[in-house]
Amino acid sequence: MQTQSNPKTQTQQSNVVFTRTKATKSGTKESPNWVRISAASAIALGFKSGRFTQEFEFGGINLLLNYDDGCKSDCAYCGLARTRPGDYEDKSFIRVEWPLVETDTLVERMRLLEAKLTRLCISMVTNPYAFRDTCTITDTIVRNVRTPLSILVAPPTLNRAKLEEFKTRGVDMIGIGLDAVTETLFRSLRTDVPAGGSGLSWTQYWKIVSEARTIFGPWKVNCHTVVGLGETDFDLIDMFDRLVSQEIFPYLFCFNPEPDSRMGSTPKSTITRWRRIQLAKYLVEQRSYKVKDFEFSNDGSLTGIKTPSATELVAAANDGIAFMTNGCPGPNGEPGCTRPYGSYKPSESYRDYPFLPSTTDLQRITSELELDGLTL
Amino acid sequence: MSTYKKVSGYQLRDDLYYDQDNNYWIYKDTADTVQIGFDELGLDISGTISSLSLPLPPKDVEKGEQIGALEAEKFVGPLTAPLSGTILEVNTDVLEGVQSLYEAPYETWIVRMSLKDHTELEQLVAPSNSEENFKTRVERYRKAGVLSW
Repeated sequence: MQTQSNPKTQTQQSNVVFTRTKATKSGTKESPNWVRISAASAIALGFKSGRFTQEFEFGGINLLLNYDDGCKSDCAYCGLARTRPGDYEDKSFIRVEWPLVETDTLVERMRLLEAKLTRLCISMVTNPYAFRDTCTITDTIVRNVRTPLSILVAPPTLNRAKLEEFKTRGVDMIGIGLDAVTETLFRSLRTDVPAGGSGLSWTQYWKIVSEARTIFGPWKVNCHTVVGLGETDFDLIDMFDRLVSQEIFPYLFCFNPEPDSRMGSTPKSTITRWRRIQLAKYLVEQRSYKVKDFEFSNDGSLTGIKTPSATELVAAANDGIAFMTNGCPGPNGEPGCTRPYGSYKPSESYRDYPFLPSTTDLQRITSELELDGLTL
Repeated sequence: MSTYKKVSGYQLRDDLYYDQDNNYWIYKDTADTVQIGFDELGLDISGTISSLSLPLPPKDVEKGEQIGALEAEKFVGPLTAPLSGTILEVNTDVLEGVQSLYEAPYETWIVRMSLKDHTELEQLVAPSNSEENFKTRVERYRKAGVLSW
């Protein structure tokens, strides 16, 4: 394994200029030398003891940049939000702790366990050093591990040149955490917020989506969309249609209230709504359905699906793929980033399955879908 | 007086019986009653435990019967009775917060029960065999990739 370069002496390799020198406090554990990893990643890489309720092949490793002063954003639903009570280093993200590990040690573990890895992802945070540090970590990973690498980007920190830089350095896919699927909702949850939006604007997000699509190509960009932030079913399905028509993957996430966040007491969507949205997204993405193929009530709730055959629709549900975790693919196109228990507790029903649902799972899903309640 | 020894990186108390299937320790506190808790390995393999559920005592149980559940970050599983008898008490402190399990695993019992069949106790891992048995258990979990390294 190669030694990670000191960011302060990093050789300039491209047209992107690192103009700021980071005043790293002595002894702090910040990126790029340190990163946080998801609890599931920590278990898979042997940093932490533990196990999953149901054994399955897990190889999707998620990294999160770490800074003493944290993420500058203040999104209403996020565990890392600036105004969420508590020290940043103690904050949870998607409700569990993210262990802090040394980047070199992490990459060494990845190298040793490369055969079982399916996808790597660096999640940026809104921080002035995030781009530069993501480049440094990307270089270290790409030099040592062949597993495809994604970056979940922080659009306020980026522009076209910086996205091109990611591509040049070997990044395979770009994710954009849009989360809120309408401009009004985005503004209320992410822009017009107590600590200020730190440049989180609907316009900037879409600019980065567009630039990333141009640079990385078809089906190499994804947008995260969250069910349960206050949007309607129409808003979601319309967004899926718009993204798929641009050959951008919509990835679906279920809102899961983060304790003490501003949306900490907002309930998550009902399981039936969630299952129907999962199925609708699958139909749009995999079966060429358009938003016009769905029926909605006046308040935007899904009431029907204009399917050529109800049997076909049931068959689509029964193949189970619609209900699996959305994430970037592995080297052979298989689900590569499966985030077990990312949006539900182990004692709750799987909101999204990190493996293909079994026959028993599908019986439960069918019941939860309540297709009888939709006009087909 | 009980003493501790380090076995395969974990503390082991030398005066306890152990249930190798459930990773419990069992302490005979009177002639007819026992306290039951998690050994250090049992805590470690679960990941970070977030909550426990336990029955309302008194409750008659048979060996192997589910008596509660354990939930951790990425795992949920049943807690089963290692012995037949009557659950007389549950430790309500651990229901409110599991920190004491980690701070003093061998002093923090989760249930206390009376024994229905004393011979079942002899089917557990005896204190004299616990060290060797514990090494084998740790190795099994290491091979399964459950333990950190």
